[in-house]
Amino acid sequence: MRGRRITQLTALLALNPYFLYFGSRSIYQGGMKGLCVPGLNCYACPLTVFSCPIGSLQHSFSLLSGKVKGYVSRGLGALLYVLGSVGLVGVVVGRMPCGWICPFGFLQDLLYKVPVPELRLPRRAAWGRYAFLLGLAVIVPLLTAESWFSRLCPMGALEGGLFLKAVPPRDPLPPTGWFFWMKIAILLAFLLWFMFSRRPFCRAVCPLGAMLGACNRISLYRMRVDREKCDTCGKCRKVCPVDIDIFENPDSAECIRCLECRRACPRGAITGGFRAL
Amino acid sequence: MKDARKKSRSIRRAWWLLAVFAVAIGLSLIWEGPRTVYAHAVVICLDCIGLI
Repeated sequence: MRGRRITQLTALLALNPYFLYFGSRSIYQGGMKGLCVPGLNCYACPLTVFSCPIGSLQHSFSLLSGKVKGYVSRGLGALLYVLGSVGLVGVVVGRMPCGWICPFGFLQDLLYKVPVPELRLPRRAAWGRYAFLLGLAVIVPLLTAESWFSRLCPMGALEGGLFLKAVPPRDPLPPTGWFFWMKIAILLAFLLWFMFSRRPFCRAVCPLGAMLGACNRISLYRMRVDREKCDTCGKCRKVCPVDIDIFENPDSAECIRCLECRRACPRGAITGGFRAL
Repeated sequence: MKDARKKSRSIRRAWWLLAVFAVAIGLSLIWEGPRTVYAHAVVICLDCIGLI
């Protein structure tokens, strides 16, 4: 197994190590649950010990909406905390967590290995990330105090919904309604899409990817392409999980800094490293 | 020469932003940011699992 796969697998286990749930049937309540880890890993998952930054972001806007009296200042605190946490990571490594630790990215990488014809995404699909971030993760929670991105999130359906249905907690959950099955249908549609396209969720939907991707241009970690060595052979694009030509724009907001292109480049034209070190 | 100046300016900008985000986390403590995130995360998010 290659280094990135090992890292992704290790990250999956590190983010979801609470196997005591199977005995206690009660989700983790320790202090680490207050930490936002930059990866799409649902905090409704009984095994997780960290917070989802997108779920927390929506919650902070829900509180800021003022619909719950007396919680506006806490909403501001939560917003500063989430933006600070994601921003710190983004300014240091940009979108690298998407390529190395995000469990949902890992799942997409694995499903894309299924041998079916490729369905290429148009470049303008990338605007979807910003629309989901601004629409479902910011504006809708601010107006309605409800977390609509979480409601539709396929990772929530997979790690939270299905898991909790299979291994229910000690305190009974509300009965399953049509909304739960709609969420499962959304999950199945995405799983199918993952087989045909390279990381479609990361490229067209993920609000966290939008936030971290915006940091790619300013982060301390940068990709570089030596124009004299590069002969634009396109081998980098063939292995790129987000289907970009790194030689066109090494700091592209699409790039998840997985470094597959660096491994594939026969001329060693692609490098990545910290600028300030 | 121009490239080097541009590079050092962007490195400085990154360090400034790093400081800004660290201050944001520090300020969030005044309004109980981490505690609010924690309090929301330790209950099962019914939105997330579609049981609303």
